[in-house]
Amino acid sequence: MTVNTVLTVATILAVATWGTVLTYLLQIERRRADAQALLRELHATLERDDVKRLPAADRVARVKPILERSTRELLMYAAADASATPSTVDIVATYLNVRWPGQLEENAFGHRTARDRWRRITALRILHRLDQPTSLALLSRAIDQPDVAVAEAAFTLLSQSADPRAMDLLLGALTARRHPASRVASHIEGSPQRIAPRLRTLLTHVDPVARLWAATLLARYPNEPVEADLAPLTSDADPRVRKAALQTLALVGDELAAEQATRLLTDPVPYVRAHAARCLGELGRADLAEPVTKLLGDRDWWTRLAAREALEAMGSEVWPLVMRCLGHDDAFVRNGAAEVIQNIGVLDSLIVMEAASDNPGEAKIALLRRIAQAGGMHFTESLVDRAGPVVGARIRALLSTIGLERVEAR
Amino acid sequence: MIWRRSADKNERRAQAHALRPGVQDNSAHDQMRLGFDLDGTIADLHGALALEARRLFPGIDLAVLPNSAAVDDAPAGDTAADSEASALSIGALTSRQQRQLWDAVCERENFWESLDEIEPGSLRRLYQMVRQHRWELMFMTSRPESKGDRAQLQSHRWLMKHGYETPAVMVVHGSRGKICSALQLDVLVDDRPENCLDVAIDSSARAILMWRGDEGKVPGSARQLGIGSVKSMQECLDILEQLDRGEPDQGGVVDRLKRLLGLGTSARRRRT
Repeated sequence: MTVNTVLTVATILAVATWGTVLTYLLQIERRRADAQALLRELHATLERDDVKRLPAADRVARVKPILERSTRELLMYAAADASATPSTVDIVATYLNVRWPGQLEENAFGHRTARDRWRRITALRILHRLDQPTSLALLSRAIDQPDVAVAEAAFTLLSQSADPRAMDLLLGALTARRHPASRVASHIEGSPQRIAPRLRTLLTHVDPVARLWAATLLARYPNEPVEADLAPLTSDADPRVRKAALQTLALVGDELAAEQATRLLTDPVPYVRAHAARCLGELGRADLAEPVTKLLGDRDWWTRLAAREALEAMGSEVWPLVMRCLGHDDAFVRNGAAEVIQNIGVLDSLIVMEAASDNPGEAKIALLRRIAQAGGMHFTESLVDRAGPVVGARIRALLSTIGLERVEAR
Repeated sequence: MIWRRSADKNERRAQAHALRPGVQDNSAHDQMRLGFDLDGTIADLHGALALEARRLFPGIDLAVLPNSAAVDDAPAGDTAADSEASALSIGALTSRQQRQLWDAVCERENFWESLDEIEPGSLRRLYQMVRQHRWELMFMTSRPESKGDRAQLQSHRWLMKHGYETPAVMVVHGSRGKICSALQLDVLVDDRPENCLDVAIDSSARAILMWRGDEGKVPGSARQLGIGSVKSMQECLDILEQLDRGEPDQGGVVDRLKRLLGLGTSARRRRT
């Protein structure tokens, strides 16, 4: 009897709880649908041609019935919506200012709760879109505070601005280090402003992180004469700065860049050596490939990989130099060289040339075998067929001697 | 002067980058230095071998005879010719037949003087060009010795007979690339692909492959490796003649040669 009572009560409670939750969810969904319908109605009304032509005050009057049915937060949401047209933002923000004077600025000034934070971010967006005089000061305050979400929103707004003062704030934030420099730098990178001269001044900043990001961000300006400014950073005490300078010099540099990169191929820090090699590869300096081949046997595997990729980037012109590495004492160098020759796509040409010889030397055949073993390359019958009857037959014999697998041409 | 040391940055850059990667610049000299192979390039060894081969081995396929003599072509007494590697050597001739053939030609008195010029008149034209353009030229050959005078002296007389009045000729074996590097040559013209590969690997000189065979894949493969390819001495001489007509802004001799031979340009990114 007692058990039945407990089960009955529990069932009733469960059903009641489920019903309450369901009602609540349905209510939220209904409010959301209502809000969206309201916004659609607002946008549709403001985008009508007859409304568009009206003065601002008349447009506010035309949509006032809709606006009065909305909550303040819904209107803030509508005004801050990225898809909202400037006209909608103007009208809604004007209405907000008239109906709740000073509230947007107050919201944008600070926050205490999570809901306040949403209001603050939204208010900052609205004021920024309205290009209010107070906007920059409020954004400055936002990035000076530790709240990540608010600062992130402020950085985004500043990076969209064409106002030089917005860039002042971003560069100030980069050096202030209140927020991660990488995050600030990514926003600076997205800015439409051309700031090469300003970044150049940061190259000598006392903070290595500022120098690092200044060097990195200068990569956006391949046509600016920044090579001479960046070159000294390749001697920076901080290896991260040397690396950043090399990365940018690879994109904007020329002779001086190649000179510095060659010097840094022997840097004590592995990743600097790796980037020095990549820099020369990016610059396509096949004439400076020899010191890069030495890194094929570097103690650091990442540097070895960088050397291989750099040599490949220099193009097929490096093949004679890389061929010489196949006889190196170091197995890493030999294997790396064999991979490079495979990847620059000259192995089939070497096979054809050697096969076309009257009497291919054993030493050369051994080299070709070593290259082939590095990559297990397959040759198509077309290589043999296209070589003609005499050389083709010799290629077939040579491939067999080397131990390369032939596959049917596709 | 071929290697101008102009103050112009682009020219200096072009010259610097035209060099073979990792190979010391041998171009400090003012005049172009050329190397020419003899057999298969200028001298018709194939024709002379064909006559002898027909006599020794009636019915032999003449297409498998070599165009030139190399140290590995097994002159008399070279037991290495019996190795398995000979399966890759001159086609249908067995190592024993090769040896017989070479024994026979080397028994002929001053055999090397009996060869014909592949393209009659080309040596005379080359000599005129060398004098006119003040080039330096060295003939190179790997000819084995034959009965009579030394191969060098026979080659010397043969060159003079065909219109090259003051030849410098060396009988050399080993890597043509190392020889080119030691002699600081700018260009070597040779009919053997392996010699051209050696030149590319071991020197800063540019190799020009004299490929008279079918087009096939060989010239394309040579080009991909930075080795020029020509079909005849006349074509080769035409290209060399144009080298000295280059404008100062067309870079150095190697750059111009690459352009004339239709070779690809460096992967270097040039800022504009």
